[in-house]
Amino acid sequence: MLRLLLVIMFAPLVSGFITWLKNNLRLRRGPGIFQPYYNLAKYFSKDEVVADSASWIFRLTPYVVFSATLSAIFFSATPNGLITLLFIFSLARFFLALAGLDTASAFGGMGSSREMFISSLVEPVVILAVFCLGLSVNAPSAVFLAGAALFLATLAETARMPVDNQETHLELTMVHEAMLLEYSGRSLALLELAAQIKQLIFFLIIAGLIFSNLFLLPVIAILVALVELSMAKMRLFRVVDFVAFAGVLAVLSIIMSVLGA
Amino acid sequence: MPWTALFFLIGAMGISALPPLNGFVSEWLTLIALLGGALNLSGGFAKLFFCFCAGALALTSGLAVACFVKAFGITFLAKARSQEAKAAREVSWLMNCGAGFLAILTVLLGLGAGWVLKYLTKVSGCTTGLDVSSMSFSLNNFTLSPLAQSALYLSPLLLTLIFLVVILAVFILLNLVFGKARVQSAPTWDCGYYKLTPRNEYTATAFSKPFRLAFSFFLLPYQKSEKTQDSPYHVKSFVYETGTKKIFSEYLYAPLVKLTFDLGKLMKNIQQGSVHLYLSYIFAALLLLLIFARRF
Repeated sequence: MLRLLLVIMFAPLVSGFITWLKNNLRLRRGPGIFQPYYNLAKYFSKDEVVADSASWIFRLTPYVVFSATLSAIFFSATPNGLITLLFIFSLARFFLALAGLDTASAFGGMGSSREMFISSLVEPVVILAVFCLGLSVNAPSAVFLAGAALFLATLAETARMPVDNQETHLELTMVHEAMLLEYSGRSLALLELAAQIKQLIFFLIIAGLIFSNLFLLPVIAILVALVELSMAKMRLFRVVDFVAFAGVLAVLSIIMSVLGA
Repeated sequence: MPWTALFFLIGAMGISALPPLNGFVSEWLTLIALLGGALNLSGGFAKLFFCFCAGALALTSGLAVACFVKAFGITFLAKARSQEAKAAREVSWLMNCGAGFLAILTVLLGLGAGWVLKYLTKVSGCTTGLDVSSMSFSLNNFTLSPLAQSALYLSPLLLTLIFLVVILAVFILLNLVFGKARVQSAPTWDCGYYKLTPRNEYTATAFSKPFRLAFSFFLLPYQKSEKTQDSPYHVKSFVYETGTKKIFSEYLYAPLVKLTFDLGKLMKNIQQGSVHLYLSYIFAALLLLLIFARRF
């Protein structure tokens, strides 16, 4: 229960920290580090506008996504727990993609289509990395490679730069944001918080499970910020190469751990 | 068609291996089995093989989820995409019974997987001759645990309970802290373009376009476009067609069918329908058999 509260409390801070760091490195004066909290508080107290063509799935989705993401926290950080975790995230993604289609807006459909495309490619990478973690108990180099693969997968899963752009205001370049486009008020707050929690969970997996040092969490956040600063968003079909590179890393890590064992 | 849509959604969730339905349980067990194989087998190639199987399974399941998001979302959600869809009405309750029965089974087999698997394990233990007594699929706590002593377990029922409790808790907390949600209904945002019609919506073809392009080495998509112009400046009509080659029917089944027909045509030459000819065939076969029996 304490874990649950801690994760909910700190998830927006991680997002805020990454944005803050990015703005500082760009020599810009951006919003403060606590801005995500202000955003969430504002969204929570606002009224909601729901598209008139939307069905009950649109209304239900924020709750399903949020509760699925939260219940992911209960799973143990072992390879078995991680496999279960993937299924739970896939439940959240399924409903989010349906909600994107539900509003009859072309952008929502585009977002769902792209999200399903990217996630179906990323899923084998994550599974392979998880298998490598299980295989190589005492092969640090293999674990490091698996960690690199998982880091690239995390960039894709958490809608970060070479795959998706969280800062964009142009709908045609959105992936994750495009699905949330019609959401407002409380539902939007739930979905944003869920996305931040998911990001924190992925960071925690990399920090805790691969490098078995939770204090690495800020390092990973800094790495993400640096990657976001130094890369431009890829075209959707270049993402295939990006994910394929992550896949090659994961396969290499497995081969290394098998040879080392 | 609210009921049909609900049953279709449950089925789609089941086949996409979403918790806590039956597809999830079977895919979870498969992945755990692959992980167990990768961890416990001694051969390097066996380990690699199990890992790649798991990767392939993950890719397949990801594609399955995408497929059923498309199938359900395009068919049932948003504005009706055709006149026929607009006129769709709920089917009779008798027809819903069939779909509903299957949907309920999907849910029950997921939630009560521990109970079902207790019996299925005995069957598989008998047929493969393996010792399955260490697997515990107990009824009291509804957990699945392929290895008894380890921390390897899953309880679809508990998972559902967590889902429901969290949903309820969030809903109640939000209502307590921020008051009841005031919801207005408004048209979907249309970029200030006034009327948003169903023609603006994403279609199934558009939805699967990234997949067609990324897997074009296998799917071999083709595009045809045809313009008719009544003057160089005005296009009167434009026809665009896209699709994928039917790989299996074109390269696997069609040659097989052709081979069968060709063989049949060859055999036709000796089958003319004359009884005398058939008698002579029998005589020749008998002679051949006798010679065969004498010689060998």
